[in-house]
Amino acid sequence: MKILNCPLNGPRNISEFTYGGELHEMPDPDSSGAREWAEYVFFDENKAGVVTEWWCHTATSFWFLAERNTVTDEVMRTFLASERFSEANRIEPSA
Amino acid sequence: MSSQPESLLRRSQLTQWHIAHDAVFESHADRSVVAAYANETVDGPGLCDLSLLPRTGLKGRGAPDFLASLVSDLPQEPNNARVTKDGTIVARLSNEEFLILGSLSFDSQVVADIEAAINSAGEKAAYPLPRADSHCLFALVGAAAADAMAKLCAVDLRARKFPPGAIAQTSIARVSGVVISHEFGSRSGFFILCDTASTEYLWRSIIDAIDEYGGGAIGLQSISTTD
Amino acid sequence: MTELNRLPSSFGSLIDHKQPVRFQFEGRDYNGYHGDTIASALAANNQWILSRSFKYHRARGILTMAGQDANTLVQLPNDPNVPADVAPIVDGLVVRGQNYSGSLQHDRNASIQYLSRFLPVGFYYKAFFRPRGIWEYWAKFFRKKAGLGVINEGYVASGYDKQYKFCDVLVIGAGAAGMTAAITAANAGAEVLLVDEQVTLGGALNYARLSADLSDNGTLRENLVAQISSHTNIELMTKATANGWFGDNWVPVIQGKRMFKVRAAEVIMCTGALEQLSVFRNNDVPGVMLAGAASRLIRLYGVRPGEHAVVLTANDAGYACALDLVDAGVDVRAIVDLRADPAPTSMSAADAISAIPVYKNSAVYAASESKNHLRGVEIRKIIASGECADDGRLIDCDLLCMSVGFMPTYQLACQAGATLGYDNESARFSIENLPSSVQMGGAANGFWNMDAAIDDAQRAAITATNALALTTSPLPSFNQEQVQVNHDWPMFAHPKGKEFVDLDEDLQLADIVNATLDGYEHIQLVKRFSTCGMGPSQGRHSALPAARLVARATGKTIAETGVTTARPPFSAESLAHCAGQSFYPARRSNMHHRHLDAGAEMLQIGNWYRPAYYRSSKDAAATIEEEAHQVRNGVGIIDVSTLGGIDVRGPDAAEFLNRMYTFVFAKQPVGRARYALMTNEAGVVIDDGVACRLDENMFYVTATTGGVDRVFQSMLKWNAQWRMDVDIANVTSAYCAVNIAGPQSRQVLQRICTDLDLSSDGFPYMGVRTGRVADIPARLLRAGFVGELGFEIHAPQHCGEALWDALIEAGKDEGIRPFGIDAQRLLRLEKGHIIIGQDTDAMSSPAEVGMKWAVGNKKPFFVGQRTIRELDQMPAKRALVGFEITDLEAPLPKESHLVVAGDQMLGRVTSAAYSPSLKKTIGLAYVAANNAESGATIQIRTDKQKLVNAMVVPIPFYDRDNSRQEL
Repeated sequence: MKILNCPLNGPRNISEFTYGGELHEMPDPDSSGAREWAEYVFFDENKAGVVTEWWCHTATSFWFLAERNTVTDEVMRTFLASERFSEANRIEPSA
Repeated sequence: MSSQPESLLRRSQLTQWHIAHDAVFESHADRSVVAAYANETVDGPGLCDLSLLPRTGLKGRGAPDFLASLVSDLPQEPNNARVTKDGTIVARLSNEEFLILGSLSFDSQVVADIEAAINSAGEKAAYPLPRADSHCLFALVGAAAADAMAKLCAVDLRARKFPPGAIAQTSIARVSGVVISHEFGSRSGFFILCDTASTEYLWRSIIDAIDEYGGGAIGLQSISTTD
Repeated sequence: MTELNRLPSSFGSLIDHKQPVRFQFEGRDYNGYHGDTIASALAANNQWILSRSFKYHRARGILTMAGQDANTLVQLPNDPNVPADVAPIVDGLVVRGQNYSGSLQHDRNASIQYLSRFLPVGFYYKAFFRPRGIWEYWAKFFRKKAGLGVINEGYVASGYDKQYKFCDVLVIGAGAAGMTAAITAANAGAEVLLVDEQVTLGGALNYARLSADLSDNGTLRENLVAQISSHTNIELMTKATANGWFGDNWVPVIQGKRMFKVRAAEVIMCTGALEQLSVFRNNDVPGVMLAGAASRLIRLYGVRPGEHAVVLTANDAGYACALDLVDAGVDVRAIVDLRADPAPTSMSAADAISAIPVYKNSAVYAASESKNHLRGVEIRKIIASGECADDGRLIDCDLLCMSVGFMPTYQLACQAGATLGYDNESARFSIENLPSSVQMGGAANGFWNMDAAIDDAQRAAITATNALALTTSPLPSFNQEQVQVNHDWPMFAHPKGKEFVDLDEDLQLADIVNATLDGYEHIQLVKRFSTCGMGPSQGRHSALPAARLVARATGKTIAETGVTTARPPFSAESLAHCAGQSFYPARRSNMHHRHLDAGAEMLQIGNWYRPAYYRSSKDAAATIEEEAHQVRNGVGIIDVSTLGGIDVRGPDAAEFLNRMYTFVFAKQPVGRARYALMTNEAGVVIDDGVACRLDENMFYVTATTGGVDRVFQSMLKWNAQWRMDVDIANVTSAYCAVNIAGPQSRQVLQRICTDLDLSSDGFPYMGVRTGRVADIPARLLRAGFVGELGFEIHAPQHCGEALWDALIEAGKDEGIRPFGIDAQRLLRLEKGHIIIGQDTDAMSSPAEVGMKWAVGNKKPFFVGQRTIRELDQMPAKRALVGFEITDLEAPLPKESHLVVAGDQMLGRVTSAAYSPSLKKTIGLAYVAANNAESGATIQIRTDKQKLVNAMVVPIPFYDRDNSRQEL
């Protein structure tokens, strides 16, 4: 069983985690075209190489991000979501 | 001093189990706790139901500073616990979340004081968490406790890797829970918490796991007298 | 009974000559000793046939004495396919052979082998390809002829479980190399787990001869064992099989009834090497065995493996075996050496075997048998690789010992990602490209010289302790000179065949070659077409010859050809081990025991135990009807503790809910609750509940029992991105909850809730209050799931039982009674309330389920909003509607019965029940959007294809203007 290194809880069996899908940048829900929106909702890039994914440590409901190579299944690093989503660039849907 | 748990408002989910296993209860203010079981002879790890032990929790961006104003010497890193002079256990579950277990004497005012302080300080200070009801609490005490837990839990809980004060938030017998390494007097052991609805399930799972090591249920007296 | 072949007590290190054991095999009683395996005890009694082969029903006996082959699989009463050469005997054990008709000695099915030329490789694929269905017809007959043991279907496995185990270094294999590696790593401070399949430490040191006079064996084993057993850093597990390698050094180790899930920082594999067969006619006859098997019989079990022996060899191990045989008093008649000109060694030149004729550059071309045992061998000169001279010499013998090469035990290493390379010079496979946290040592790594094997094990251990940062030692250099142990082509075709490459599957030399001629040239295809390597021994002895044969037949190198993937498990694993102990988490409210006391019929829904109904003198349906009647006309209570609860607090709490749910919450007054519908980004309804505003910045949001964990996780995930100033806490378990409902609920509750004004003005419908009920602090909510006046009381979980008791006591005069979820489902259906997950599916949009009113279109954003906007532009395909059936003779539709129009499926029923208060059948169904108007007729296909007409009606079915719940 693989080990995933949770930024809060340290290395744990992968069975302690919930997969949260690839990280997608949400297009502007008001100005994006229907196709762009559909691609965001329904499609993963699913590329061979390093992807950024959401993972949640189930026991603590702690979400974080992981960079994983889908070819080798090697997890390059795990990090806090705040690294991508800081207070400063908080996603603000057009009000 | 004994009292019947069914006459009180707060009851552990295991009350019926305790009664069926010839528990002798003792009173602590408005609660009734198992003092001992008749014929309680446990050589191996002992499991004690502390679900009615006063405890609370708090979280939020302001929680660390707020708690520091009430309790000295907070654990600095997440997943670490400290025991204060009066026996209160302060467990840091994340940067912004704490769990506070009252001392095993059941007479500590610390928990009530913290709750009162949060209520009067308001949400800017910290958000209170109803930890006395959201989780059940057990103590598992004795040398083979870690080996027995290895039948239920994938985290290495042996003292070498999990010394007193260490915390693991993990899966225990397939339910989410918290394990805190703690020295009960001279004996090593754990506090174990999981969601209250799973109390009976987890209790029976641990009782089954420790049976192989000569373990069984123990009352509060067995823990208090280990000092 | 005397044991014909038992040697004096100076032989047999594993058996206790003082402890006789009696057991039964094939209905006859046998004697053995404590420590004997089934096979060794039978061999001592001159019983050599242990099984019948899979396809041709040929007699088979001891091959490896190490549990590495299918020859010795026997039947125990509760356990099929037990390897007799490692399974111990115990008093009273009853053993039978497998896969025969008649007796093991005289198997009526053995005549099949004479048809073998009509059963070419791929026979079943070719013969039963057409017509369709022919295989299904014949398969049941073949299954009876070809098979292994019998499952005792009445046997219930118990006591199997699993345990996690942790170590710095896991050493697999406790031979000289494994023990050395364990000691080296432990001395460096590592916590070591040493695992071995065998009953005793030492591996080959227990039976193999290191020098002709045994002097080199000396005290090597004893010294290593002594260090291991006294080392506090080493934990030892014998009779324990490391049965696979999984990601990040996760190794299942099976010992007894327990599977240990071992997590190691570093793994050192000292798994040794498996001795290989020579392929020649009748190489499977009982009496033909590996040299290691003969040595094990003599040294470990004190059993003489035969009277007159021939040794076939290509290395020193054969000569060492000859010395063992001489020691045991066996008459060794010849040593046949495949090598043209072997250099003499101290082993081959030993005095004790100097008188035995040695036939160099020769092979055993064929064996002959009589009465299912070896009678003699034919020896011929080798004239080219795989080819013999036209004539040879016959030697009578009842034992042939083979040692023509070794295959490293590569399975675990390859599971860890290693690859196999083949060196033509040494004619052996070697293990390459190991991951950095896995080391190999000793014979598995190709070191045959004992000194080199030990040095190599030390190197492996130091590599591991360096990686663990326990040491920073340079790796030792040592003499890595190779010893040639493999012959490159110990295979000799015979015009009459029966030269077995794979004994499990009865595959002959030509079968492998013919598979390539049929076009299956890749080793993986050869395996699947011929079944080579698919049997219980998983290619332990067939992988090497198959690789060589396929390589030669296809003109490729052996390295290119390779072997097939060795997947876990390494050896057969019982389902009971995989299953282990079952953990089924069960959640109970604090009122659980009160339900049991009240006669509840409990259901497990998800993990929760919930009362379906409370048993009465009437049948279930009438009881449920009574419970519903009591709610409609008096007062009832139901435990709704399973309901999810999430506290959302902070300055951004209202805005956060605005984004998470479809409705609007910003202007919701304190003290009011509001319906909350959640959609995902695809605009699909995924949960619902009510949001109670307890304070300006504090909401208590309920969620469905099955959905709350997902909802909570999803809230946290969104806020990890939005980073709003809000705290989200799942408090589901912190609160028990009871719904007291019915026209009399107010008067009952008022008795124990005196600090709140419960009047319809003081506490209106969808109002929220905090107060005390029976002195218990509680959150109260006036909601109307069942459509009557009612109060949901949410109280601290540990007060649940006291709360329940207080309500029952308070409602005594009104005849209060508990009702279960069956009555609740009926009551809510009468009100037309949907249940998420039952009345919705993975496509349900708010519009489809009549929830457009719960969608705040003017808000700037909520999850799913954009998609819902798109969906609203498209023509509706279906709609969830209420229907009724007034014909009470018509069959009752059930969930998932189809709504049809002729052959067309238009929708399906999601809920349906007979409503006693309305005296008709009511339900919810998806129907075509163009036939969803009230008054429309729909057709439902019920059980046995019976069509029932139903009419679309508006919902709610009961109390259409909702006056009762708002009393």
